[in-house]
Amino acid sequence: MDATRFLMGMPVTVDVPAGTQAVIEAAFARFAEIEARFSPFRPDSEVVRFNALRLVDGEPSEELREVLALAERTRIETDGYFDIARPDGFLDPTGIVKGWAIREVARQIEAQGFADYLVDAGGDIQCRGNAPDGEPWRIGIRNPFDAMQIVKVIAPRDHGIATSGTSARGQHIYDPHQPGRRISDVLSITVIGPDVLEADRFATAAFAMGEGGIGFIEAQPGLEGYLIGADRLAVQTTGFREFVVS
Amino acid sequence: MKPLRYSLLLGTALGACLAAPLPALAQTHYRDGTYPGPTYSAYYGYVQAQVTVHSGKITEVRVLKYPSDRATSRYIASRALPYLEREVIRAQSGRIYGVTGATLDSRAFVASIDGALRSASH
Repeated sequence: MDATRFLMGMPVTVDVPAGTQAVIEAAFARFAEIEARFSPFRPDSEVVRFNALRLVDGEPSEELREVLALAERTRIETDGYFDIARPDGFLDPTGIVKGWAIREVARQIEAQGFADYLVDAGGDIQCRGNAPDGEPWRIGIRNPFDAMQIVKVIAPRDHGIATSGTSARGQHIYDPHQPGRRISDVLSITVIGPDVLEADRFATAAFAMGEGGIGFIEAQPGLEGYLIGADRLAVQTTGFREFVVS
Repeated sequence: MKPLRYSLLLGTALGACLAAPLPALAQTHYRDGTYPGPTYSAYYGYVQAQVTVHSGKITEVRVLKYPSDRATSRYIASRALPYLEREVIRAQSGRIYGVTGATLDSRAFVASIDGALRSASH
């Protein structure tokens, strides 16, 4: 069964064809728990208290430590293009938490013994096995020029897929090396990776790099990418076509 | 000379150019057998060769290991292929279970496409 709810500021879909209501509820409960800990908008979240230097005994939690370590690793791996430090100095790990949360929930579903599932948070997706129709899960890549169209159908198989772009929420990514620069030559970059967290963190960084982002993905082992430019031209990495259905 | 030594030379030669002839080695007499060489770094990856000697002559050289790590082979390939594949985007259709690139409700989007396709087929 499947269900969609609004969590972490975005629609979240959990689809476990062989799962029960309890499995779906447990998945959403895990998302809610993660949101409560990491939300930069909740005055009582651990992230807000961490930034205000108001941590209590037993904090930072293992989870916050893990996410901060992942953020730092990503910052180094992407030459600073991925950075959770906001211009106002606040450490906002939202950019890591989304992919991490999807992966956590996917692992929980797997640990419950389900080989077929899809977890989608705001268009970042982890899937495994087959869809209810018995075929591998298929995901569309949205046309940044027309929200009602898709421009590719992808079967990520047991990988994660994530897109960073300007299509849905406007300009929400900036280049840390050129703070005033608008990223306008690239509209979206979709990344397929070993899991959704890898896909997500590298999609964010690659998008911030502009046109060079696709070359960066090409050079990363285990990642494939599809960039859509403002000129309506798409550029794909050499292994991307293995995932293309149509 | 030990077989190891041949492999070292072969490894170096293979690292430089897999197709290079080996005139210096061809002058030497060898014991019959098959000799896998050690693995060597060829800067962009690792190379390992195996030599088969029959009637004192090298009858076969096989490459057991060559740089197949994707980042490095891609680095080399990127020198040979400066352009990644490009295409003009165009609308696709088909049964899908999610949409990436969306921060809107992707399921609603899927349902909408399904609906559109249904009306298109009437």
